[in-house]
Amino acid sequence: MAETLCYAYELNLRFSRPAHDHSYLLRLSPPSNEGQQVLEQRLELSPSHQGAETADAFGNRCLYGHIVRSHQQFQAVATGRVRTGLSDGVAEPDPVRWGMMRSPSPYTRPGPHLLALSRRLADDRDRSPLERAWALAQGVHSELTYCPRVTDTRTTAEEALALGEGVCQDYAHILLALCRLEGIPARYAAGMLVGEGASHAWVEVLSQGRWYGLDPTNLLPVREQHILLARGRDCGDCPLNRGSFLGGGDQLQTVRVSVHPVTAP
Amino acid sequence: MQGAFVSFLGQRVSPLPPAEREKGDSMYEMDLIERANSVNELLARYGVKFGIYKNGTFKEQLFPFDAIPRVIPADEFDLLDRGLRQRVKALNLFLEDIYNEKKIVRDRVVPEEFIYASSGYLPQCEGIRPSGGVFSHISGIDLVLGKDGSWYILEDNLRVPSGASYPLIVRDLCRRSSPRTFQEFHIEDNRNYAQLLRHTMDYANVGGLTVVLTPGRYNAAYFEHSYLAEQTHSPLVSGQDLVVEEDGVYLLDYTGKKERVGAVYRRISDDFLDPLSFRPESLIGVPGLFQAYRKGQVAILNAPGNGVADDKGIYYFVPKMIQYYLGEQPILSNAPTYLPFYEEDMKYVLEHLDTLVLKDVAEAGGYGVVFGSKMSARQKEDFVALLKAEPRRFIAQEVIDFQDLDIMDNGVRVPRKADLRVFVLSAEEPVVWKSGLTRFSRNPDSFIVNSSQGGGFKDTWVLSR
Repeated sequence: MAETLCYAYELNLRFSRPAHDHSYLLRLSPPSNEGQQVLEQRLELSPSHQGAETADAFGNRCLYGHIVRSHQQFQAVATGRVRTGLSDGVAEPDPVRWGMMRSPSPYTRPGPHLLALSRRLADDRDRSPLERAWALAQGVHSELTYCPRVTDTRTTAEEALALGEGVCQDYAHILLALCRLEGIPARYAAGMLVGEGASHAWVEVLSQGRWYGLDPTNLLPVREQHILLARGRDCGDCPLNRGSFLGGGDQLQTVRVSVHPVTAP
Repeated sequence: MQGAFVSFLGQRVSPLPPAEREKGDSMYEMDLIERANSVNELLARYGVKFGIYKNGTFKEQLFPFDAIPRVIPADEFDLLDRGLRQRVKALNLFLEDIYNEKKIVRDRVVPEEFIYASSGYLPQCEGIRPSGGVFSHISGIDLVLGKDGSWYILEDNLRVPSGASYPLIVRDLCRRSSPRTFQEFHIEDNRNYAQLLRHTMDYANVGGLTVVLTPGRYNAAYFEHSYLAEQTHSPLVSGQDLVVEEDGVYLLDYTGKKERVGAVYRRISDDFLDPLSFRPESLIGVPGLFQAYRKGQVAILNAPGNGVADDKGIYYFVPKMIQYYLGEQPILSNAPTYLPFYEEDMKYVLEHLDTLVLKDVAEAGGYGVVFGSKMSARQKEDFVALLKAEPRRFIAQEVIDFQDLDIMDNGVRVPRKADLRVFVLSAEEPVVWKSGLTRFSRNPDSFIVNSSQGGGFKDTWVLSR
């Protein structure tokens, strides 16, 4: 069921007044692993700039740099082709290394709403962590109404659940919190989904020695339709783009993502 | 001068050799006390201040100096010296382990919960081994002296411990105002702090300048930042003076000239260090600094992420760390501590609430500390409910009956609670600075000694024989 996807991620940042001393950190380079293989990739910046490559603590590939000269627009365009759906889950040789994925993190700390939902979804039938996570994902899906612009990048799982509305990031945070409350190691995944729109987020859980991706927003297993970019405990650990600059006045940021299957020759 | 020995500085021992005792300690004591006002005036003139946040506003206040020193005999300090070197060594090994192999977790000596749920744990630091293998270069360990005559560790400060500059500058002023005192007594010279710090910085430095990074003059310890920068001949910089390029960190001077930086002695908390990796709204940090550090292009003193080892919950495990990493028995004791996380301890805490002090592990600076004996019935009920809901959040300790130190309060000698912060500097090996910051509470009923809560300080004399 493997598939080849081509993707384009376009970040546009416009300033009302020139910005300078602009530092950026981007996580826009998909990694190759057991589940996906990167066939081709580019990351271009405007103003044109040669950043430095590095890997962060979670193994995410990062590009960072510092643009001194003033500019009114900053653009990052990531394009490439990725072979996806290569395996069912990814083997984890050392689960102890991921102990932090069982503890609450800044965005997933439980409050009264999460604790109540966790109690409501409790089920003591013996099941694998993956099966349990799917049951929780269904609970999250029915609890939340998909609604853009109600929440933002600072909204925590508890806040989104209290609102009852949110986007993929909120679905993922709530599912992470619920999994962790049951002791299931779960990590946040940021990436792209087939179609046109924004970036996407989902959850990976560790079950019987393998990490499996679950997309609680679409109730889909993460396979050939998803391209992974970065992971962390929650969105705060692995933002796809971060910047800091002087000047700039008002700023307008847009992100456009498109992912399509490449038709086999 | 009869009875002079007994009265000397209100301490158990006289710093004078027996033969000289008849000359009387009181003479020197009076000398120092009489000069205390002029020392305090000089401190004010030099801007030796301490800033505190109270009810949301920032207030800078003088850190009042009390002339009666704390005196620690040589043999007693020798015990502290050995005990603190041992402790800091173990804490550094713990930090390296937690952010790398995690052996202590695999061997179930420290439960995972206490590490990853700690607000001081930074996952961004996973996999980092700092240059020279040191995480806590400057450690400030707080102790109290019990009425039983033994010292207890109160807490470890491994992030950005402040306070070394106060005993340094005050010793200098006292030396000038009362030179004879320091000729007559055998007091360890503490002027080597700058050298020790410089050596620690040089040891960590990966090549280039060492700079002192300050958040600016509105920080509680700004006086100290500027003082230590001057004493170690290091440029005092703010975030905007540093720039991160592909191959490392540079200091920009006012002409636009760039100079390579090999070590940053930062006096900014982890959260604000780098807006690209930590709090994005930070304006006082250096964008990209953390990535340069991850790559080994620059050293950061103290290492980011050290908070995982000085958390109040982790404190309980430090004696176990000493046994685990060094195979030694701890030389210095913790205050008897209970972790309600363990069922057995929870039972004890609920049964003995009245005699215990309860601390919220997430709070610092003397905040989030409550004494069971001072809670009303209603408060107790609420607290027990909270404790049961979040057992990981609290530790409980026996209230140590610690020795009071005398201070001069409007010309009257009165006893007050006091603690001691000893500084341990780690390069090849940890070295204990033979001095320290003795802080006292001005409120006679307060057990909480912390400069953030508006106490004063004393000089600490470590006797050389």
